This record gives sequence, C-alpha cells and structure tokens, in this order.
Amino acid sequence: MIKPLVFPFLPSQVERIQDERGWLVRPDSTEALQQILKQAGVTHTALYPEWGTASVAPQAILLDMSRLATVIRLRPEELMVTVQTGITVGALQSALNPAGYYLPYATSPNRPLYSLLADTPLSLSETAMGPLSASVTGIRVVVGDGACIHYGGEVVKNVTGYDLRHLFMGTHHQYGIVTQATLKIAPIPEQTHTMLFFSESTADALQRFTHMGQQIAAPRILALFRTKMTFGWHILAQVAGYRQTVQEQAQRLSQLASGLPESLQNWDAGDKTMAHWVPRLDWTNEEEPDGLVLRVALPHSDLLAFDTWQKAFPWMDGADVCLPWGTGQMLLRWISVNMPYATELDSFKRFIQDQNGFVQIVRVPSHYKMDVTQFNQDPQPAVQTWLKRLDTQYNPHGILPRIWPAAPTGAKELV
Amino acid sequence: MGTLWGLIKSLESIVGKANVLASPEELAVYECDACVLIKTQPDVVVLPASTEEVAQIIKACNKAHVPFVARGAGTGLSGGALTTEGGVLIGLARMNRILSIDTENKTAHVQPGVVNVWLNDATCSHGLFYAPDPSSQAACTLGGNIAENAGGIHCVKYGVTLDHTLGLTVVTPEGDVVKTGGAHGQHLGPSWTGLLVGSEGTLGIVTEAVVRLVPVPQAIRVYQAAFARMEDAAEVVSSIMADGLTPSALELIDAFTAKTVNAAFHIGLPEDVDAVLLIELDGDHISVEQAGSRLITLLNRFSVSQIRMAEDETERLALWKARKGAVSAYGRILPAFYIHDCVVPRSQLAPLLRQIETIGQKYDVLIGNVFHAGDGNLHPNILLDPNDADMVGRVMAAGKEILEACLAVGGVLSGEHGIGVEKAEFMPLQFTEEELAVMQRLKTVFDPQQLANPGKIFPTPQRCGETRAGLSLATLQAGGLWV
Repeated sequence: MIKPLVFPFLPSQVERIQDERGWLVRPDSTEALQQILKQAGVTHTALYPEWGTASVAPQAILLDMSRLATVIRLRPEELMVTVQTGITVGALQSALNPAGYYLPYATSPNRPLYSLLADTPLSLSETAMGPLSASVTGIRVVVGDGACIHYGGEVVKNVTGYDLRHLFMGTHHQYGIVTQATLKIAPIPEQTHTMLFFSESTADALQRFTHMGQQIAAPRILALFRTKMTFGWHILAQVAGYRQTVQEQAQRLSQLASGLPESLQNWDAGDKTMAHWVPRLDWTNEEEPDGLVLRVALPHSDLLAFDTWQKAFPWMDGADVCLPWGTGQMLLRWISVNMPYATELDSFKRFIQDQNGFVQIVRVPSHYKMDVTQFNQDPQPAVQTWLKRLDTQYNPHGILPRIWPAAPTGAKELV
Repeated sequence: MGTLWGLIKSLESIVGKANVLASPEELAVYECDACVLIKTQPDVVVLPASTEEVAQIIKACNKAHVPFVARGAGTGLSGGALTTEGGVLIGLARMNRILSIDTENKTAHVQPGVVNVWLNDATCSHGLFYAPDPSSQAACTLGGNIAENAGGIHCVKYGVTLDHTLGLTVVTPEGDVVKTGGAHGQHLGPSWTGLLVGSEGTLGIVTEAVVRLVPVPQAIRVYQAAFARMEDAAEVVSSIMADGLTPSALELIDAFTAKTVNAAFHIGLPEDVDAVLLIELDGDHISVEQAGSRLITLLNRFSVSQIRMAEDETERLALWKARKGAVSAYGRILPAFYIHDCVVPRSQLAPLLRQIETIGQKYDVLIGNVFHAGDGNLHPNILLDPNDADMVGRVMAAGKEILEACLAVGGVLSGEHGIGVEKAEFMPLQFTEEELAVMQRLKTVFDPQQLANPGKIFPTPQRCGETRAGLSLATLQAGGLWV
C-alpha cells in the first residue's frame, strides 16, 4: 500500500523539494540514495526515477539524479571513463571531446546516463557498437532494499561471479538504480563522413539499403527510416575511421546511391544532420511526441522483408519506421492518428511470433486502450516465476517501479 | 545408498542403461577436469542426447534432492565440472550436432557438445567463422564455453562468448525448458542470456544455443615485436589500444615461455629479450595496410629490438599454434601447472609482471607468462609437480599473492576461466559480504533448492574461516580431494 511521504530521517544533504509533479528527492551520493531507499522501504513509499519509467503512481516520490552527475575518472590509456550516472550524454561528450575521445553512442544529448542504462532504447549506433550495455564494464548499484553492490570496473573482461550488469541494465530500475558506471570510450576517428539519401519508393530504398549494408564493411551508422514529417524513405549512413578507408567507403556509398536525383542526396551531411535526426529517431524519449511505439525483434533478413507485411497488415502504411542495419530490431511508431486497434496488434504479434520473433509495446499514449502488461508478457511460465522471484529478492518492498510484466512509458491505468 | 540406487534406475529409464555410468572404473574418468589439483568423483554419470532427456534427468534429481553438474569436454581450468558435493554428473558430449547454419543472418544453431573448432570447420566454406577461440578450442565444447563465457586470443577485437550468443535453450534447475533471446539476439524483459552466460552451470544447463558468426576477414597480418624490457612491451600494448588500432589479437609471451616454446616447437621466437608481442591485424585490404603502417610507426617510437611480419599463412598459423600450445610446452619442464586468469587495467601490466616475477622468486617457483595483453587478461602459469606436496603449497601461496596483487590495482579474479571451485575462496578478496549476498540472491531466483552445480563460485560455509588462506593444501586434503 502506498502511503504519503514520510521521510523524517533523511540526512540533511538530501534535497527535498515539491513542485507541480509532486515530491522530489535529490541525493548527492550513492550512500544518500541507499538511505532514501531504506527509508522508502520502511515507510512503503514508491520511488520513481525521473526519465523513461512507467507512469508515476499516486503519492510516489520522484527521484532526481541530477546531483550525481560528475565525471569521476577519465583513463585515456584504458579507453575508459567512470561517471556518476546522473550525467547527461551531452555533458559526458563535452567532457571527453577536448581530450580527443568520445562515447560512440548516438542518442539525445540531454538524456541522463542512468535512464539509458535502465531502458536501453534502440540506438542507431547499435549497428557498429551493439547496445550501450555492451560498452559498460563496471557498475555501482543501489538495490531495491538499499544494499549496494559494485561489479566490474576498468577491466574489459570479467567472469567473476554472476554478471549483474544484465540484472540492473535494461530492467527499467525495477531491481536497483545504477549510480555509477564505467564505460568504454574511443578516440575521435581521424575522419567521419555522414550521408543522407532519400527515396520515394519503398522497394528502391530497401534495395539500396540492403546493398549498402552488404558492401560497406562496418559502417558506424546505417539506418533506414521513414517519418510522417519527412515523406518517403531516408537512409542515414555514417562511416568513420582512417581517412583513406573513409574516403573509399564514402565513394562506394555514393555509387550505391547512384540513380537517385541529385537533389535527394546529401553527400556531406555532417554533424548537423546527426544532431537533427538522432534525437528525432529516439522514439522512447519522453521529449518526443506521445505515440504508440512498437519494437519488433526478428532476424535481420526477416526484418528487411517488412514491406511484405503490409498486405496482411495494411495499417502499417501509417507507421513511422526506423530500421538500423544488423541489430535484429526495428521500431514502428504512430503519432495521434491511424493507430492499430488492440486486436490488430494481437494478430501482428502472433504473426511475428510465428517467425520466432516478438513484438513489444515500448511506448503507449495515455488514451490508448490496451492491456499492455498482458501484451508484453513473456509467455513462458518459468520466466514468469523468475520475474516474480527477482522482484522478491531485489525489490522486496515494492518501492521501485514494477515493470514486469512490462508497462511502457506514459501508460496509465489499464483497461 | 537406497536413494542413489533408485535415482540410477530412474536415469536408466530416461537415457538407457548404456548411457548411465556407475562403476568405479567408469567414474574415475570423470574425477577431474583441467584443474588437476582437485579430484572428486561423481556418484553417477549420465549421458543424455536431447533437451527433453536433460529436463527429465534434472526433475529426477529434484525428486531425489540430489545435486547435479553439467560437463562438456572437461577442459575447464577452475574445477567447474567437478561434483564436489557428490551427485549426478550430466555429460553433454552426445549432444554434439550443429543443427543449422544461416549464412544470410550469419548465425548457427548448435548443441552444447559441439567442439569449438568443429563450428569453424563447418562455417569457413561459407566465408564465416565463430570468433571466440580459447586455446583449448580443439577439444572444448560450446556448452562449456557458454558456461564460462570463454574468451580466447581474438576476443580483444571480436568480444567474448556472450557477445556471440544470441539465444539459448536452457533447462532450469527445476527441470523446465526455457528459451532466451533468439536469432535476433533480443529479449522481452531482462537479458536472461546475459545472466546465464558465464554462470558456470549454477543457474541452469544450456542444451541449445544460437550463436553469431562473423565474416572471415579479407586480409590478416601477424607481426612479431621483441622487447628488451617488459615495461616497453606493456607500454606498447596500452599505446596500440589507445590509438584505436583495434588489433584482432594482441598477445604477450615472456622470455621464459619463448624459450620453452622454441624448445618444443622450434618456432624461432626471439630468446634474448624480455618479452615478445604477437600482434594480428585483420579487415579489408586497405584497412589492414593502413593499420599496419600505423603499427610500425607506433612500434618504432618505442625501444623495440626486432619487428617482423609473418611472411605467409603457414608462418602465421605456426606462430598461433606456438602461442596456443605454450602451456603444453611447459610440460617438458614440469608435469603440471596452476594457471591464474586475473584481468587488470592494461596500464598495470608492466608493474604487475615485475611483481609476479618477484613472487616467483620469493616462493622459488617457475612462472611463465603468456597472455591476452590487449585485454589485460594475465595468465601466470605456475609450474608444479603435483606429487611434491611442498611445491604445491608454495605454488598455492604464490598464486594467492598474485591474485591479491591484481585486485590491489583494480583487477578482477577471472577473465575467462571462471571461478568454479578453484577460486571460490578468493571471492571475499574482491567482494564484500554484502556484495556476495546480493549476488547470491540471483542463485536463489533460478535454483531455490540449490541443486545446480553446488559449491561453485561462492565460498562454502565450512571454508569461510579459510578464505584468507585460499585454496590451501590443508583445505584440499580436508575435503578429501586428491593432491
């Protein structure tokens, strides 16, 4: 049962403020967060980290991590940086760039790291780097009952005990809050070249996208996308590395784009293009318009056949699409209009499951009538048992968001 | 005895009498793995051929409340496949099929008993290969690789087993069959694959896996660089990685090992130096050419006494054969070795290697270093004669001191061999009591009855008082373990 805020014994350095959202607490250290969680457990008060979680329950406390936002240690010789996770990606990049390094992960610059680690949203960088979690070599976590654990560090390999990074990353804060992380960084490449191509025809865009993916060795970014704002298909490509290699790859990309009208090609799109599109393709970001966002997971070659799905599911024609190369996942989005009905989504889910994939609702608008919890549930009974036990072990007082069965960003009470 | 007899009968009804081994002679074959200092026999060995049989076996074990341990080829170096608390050993060698290869999506669907190198043999004609390549790849199995999150020479560029594991079929410690991930490599919920890979068989038994394959690179070059000082070699390692060169392999061989390998394989590694680096670059022709030039420029900034490039494929393969065969070359000096697997930040390699040398002199033991320098993954091989109790004692003490030195500089106990039983007592050196308790809660989630590979990873209560002593000779003897 959620009780009103009663935090009489928090240390004085923990800020408590009240604004239009309700009560916020702002710890300035991992130890302070531990005390907050312990107090919350005793008083049965729900605690919701800001950014990217399920809807805030009434009388819950918002956790603001913005005071835990420093760069603790930069180790260029190890290609690693250790940070407090309240830091935004933009601030982290600003700290790394002057030293000649960067975090090779494309995301909205104002997203704090702890939110990215918790939600692991699909990023265009995953084509080259894999998920952000693969770049994390060490974490410090406050678990749901206030205990603290440190796993890993400035080492690139580690099989010491259970790899708890996979328990606390990608699990939407349900089992604990990551307060500190060590991440792999990279030297800023000698050269980076960004290109943006446009095609009106789905078939043409898919064909060029496929050829690019097959013929360009290790592109940093290669994504096919369509949004209602853009009309038609875009291919965003970025290659980076040694100058000669980049020039050779850029030439090959331009050859693969040949035949497109010149006005629809941007050979040197540059940083401004990335700055424009990367945040706009982060559809789980709360700053993006509210909408229904689906994540579809299938082997890559099956995803490339998505244009054939429209025969069975004509409502897909109204979707925004984002398909990064080689990640095994794509995003579909509807804003405001033409959203599929719940029954249509159920049919689509079964269709994808028949191909050994899955569909997940990752964001849903407040007015959408859908049992999201049920939709996102892993059907395997043993997995349900694991989820219940994980919650008992790591969120014993139920004060952290109970996501599983999953409830996406913006969800309100279920029908 | 009655329980065991009844269990054996149950097992025979599941897999057939021929696949249940219970005689002393048969059990002796399974008394140890590659961690030769510890020997302990299971009560019975069972050899299933399918996921369903594994599930039934585990249910039978649950019913009898008997622990069980999975085993691949028995090449593990941390005693992970030993039945230290008795029970059933589930040998997965019969589950050795490559079920399918998907060249379009670059994946393979395999059973756990597939030998690592078999997968490359099957995929190379498609221009693909499976990147994790432990030194034991000619014998070790993919199931064991998954259990230990095995690495290998090429993981500095390509990553470890987890980076190549897209999905699993697992039999849980309660006998349920669960599929995690898939050919798409994604999860609906927590990354169960991420939690299970490297869990050393304590959270479930993998009976199928979907693994990622990567394209065979167009061009591969191996360079050999010799250094009069270990410090220079270690500094070069850091510089190569910091430069963003991303070699596909970066291995260090110390002088002692170079001499030993030359004597065994006649490779012609430089011997009058302190360290030899083997550096491999791969990729398309242009990238390899460019990276090679950068590497030479970088090497020439340091005091390198010799740089050569392997002239041809034969020489390249011979160099790697020598590297992978280094530990077997030690057998010409002493019959066994105790190898550690700690990982440290790369910048700490040079001071640690000097410390290891000092520790070897302190305890009068021979230590050969041949390891994955690009990952900071040390492999001090402490040579020993298992029949010499005094030597074993000194080796154990030296090993513990090496681990303490690694942890003191921010290292971890294991990079690819796992904790098993061999390093369980050292876990409190790295983790606090609270941290170990938090970690052990995960075991309770998957295995509430604590039947899956017990006695591994975490120090057992009877050994708590000896945690500071490590895996001492007294501990081994008190536990009825062979020395």
